[in-house]
Amino acid sequence: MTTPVEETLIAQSRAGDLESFNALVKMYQNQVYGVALRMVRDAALAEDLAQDAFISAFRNLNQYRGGSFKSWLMRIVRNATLDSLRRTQLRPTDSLDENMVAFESQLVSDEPSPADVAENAELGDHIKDVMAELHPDQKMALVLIDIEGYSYEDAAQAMSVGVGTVKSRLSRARARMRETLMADPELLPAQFRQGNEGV
Amino acid sequence: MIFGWFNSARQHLSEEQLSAYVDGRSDAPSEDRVRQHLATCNATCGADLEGLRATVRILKSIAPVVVPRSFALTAEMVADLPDGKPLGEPPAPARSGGWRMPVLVPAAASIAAAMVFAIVLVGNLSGVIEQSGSSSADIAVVTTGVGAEVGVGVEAEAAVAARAVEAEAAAAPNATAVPESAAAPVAGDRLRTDSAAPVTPQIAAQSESAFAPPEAAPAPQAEAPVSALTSAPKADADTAPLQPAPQLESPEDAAVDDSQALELPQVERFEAGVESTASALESLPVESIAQAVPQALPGSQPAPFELEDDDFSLPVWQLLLATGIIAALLAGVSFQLSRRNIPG
Repeated sequence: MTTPVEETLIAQSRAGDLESFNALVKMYQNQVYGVALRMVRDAALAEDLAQDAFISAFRNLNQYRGGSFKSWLMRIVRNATLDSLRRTQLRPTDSLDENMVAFESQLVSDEPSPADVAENAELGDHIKDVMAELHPDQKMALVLIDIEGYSYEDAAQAMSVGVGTVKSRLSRARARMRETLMADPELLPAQFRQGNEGV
Repeated sequence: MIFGWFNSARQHLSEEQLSAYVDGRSDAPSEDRVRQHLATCNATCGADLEGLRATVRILKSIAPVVVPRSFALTAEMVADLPDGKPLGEPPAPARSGGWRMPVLVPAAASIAAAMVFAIVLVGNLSGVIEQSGSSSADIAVVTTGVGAEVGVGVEAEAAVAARAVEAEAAAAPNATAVPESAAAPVAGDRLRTDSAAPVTPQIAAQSESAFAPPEAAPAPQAEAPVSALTSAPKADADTAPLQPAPQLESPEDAAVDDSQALELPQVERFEAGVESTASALESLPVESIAQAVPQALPGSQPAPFELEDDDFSLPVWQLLLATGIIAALLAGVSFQLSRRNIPG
């Protein structure tokens, strides 16, 4: 839900106040860039998408009809990333490895050992591979809810679908991710290996 | 009811049920059923649930992304916006449920465009068929000796034309083949323009294949007027008052019906047209006509025309199907565009 501070900033932004809109940018740029990065897996492209999304949001602010500003903003990001993915499918790039995002878990201890770091990197690669295989809609649901912490309702607004559809897409993405991670339990952090063995 | 509940309780849990259960978003009855099933299921449901919980915990533990730079907008980035202009008031809240205007408007517009396209298409096809139908009917006029339009109700005009031309032929021995050749364009133009256009050698050449003598008319050609009536919209204002005459089986029947044809009100006007046409023919050198229509000379027997009923039938169902497909495609494209056009 949009906070009163956000509503004030939105109203001022509608009047053309760029500083007010930049305050909104500062509030959401981590999420916007993070979702774009998880979706397209290219840091440079994610930067462009995030910047374009904010510009588009400023230009189309008069189309914001209330409700969750975060979801409205994320809908712009979603549309931009899906368009980009379509273009990428039509024109595959040579190699994006140096720009690919790493899904690094924070489950390692504060002072990780080299083994922890290596395991964490390998786990991140596994997650990255599964994410690459997911359908964009399923990946979007997974990113928004499990990584970015969106509620079902906010994710549904951001994806322009119903809550039931979000549940369905999320469950499929999670099941696919579980199959991969549980197939190689050695890659899991210690607490998950123990918990998994207990089951 | 009880049996159904028993069955559903024995079924293993779906991925969606497990996922919603992990998030605490199951419906109350569904949550109870999940709990009951997990308490009794010795299969994989418990392991699946724990694996799913672990997966969600791992995903939620992924480090947040650190932005490489600020994405704050500068004045240059929005320089193409109207200077100092506010972005406008927010639009009225969208109605809950139902179709929104951004969807309805392009959909209706696309359907309307498809309808216009279909109308234009039908009009074009009809025009093509009308042209081919009229020329064929004109040809049939001569091949049957009296005219294919006889069945349409203008047999009187053709009969009068034939008699007038025969009279001209009797007066001009050099034009023995011309009368029949002249009858074709005269009758055809009469139907289309209500005025007897002067006959030129070019017109005669266009219908040179129609110079079959009356006795060479095959039986199927007597059915041609039916096709002409249904396909070619030639029964315009001047032919509308005429009542369709009985179908003629042969040119002789047309000659028998001359007396009836002479009673029709259009005969007088047509006779005037025939007279003007005959006078125009007289002014033409016979050599040029004979050169333009060599096959019309005695001794040449062009192959008779064969008309089929399907020649002039409109493929209405195909047009309707094409229109429907086009409308559906346009509506779908418009719907997608309208959805993509809404940034928020």
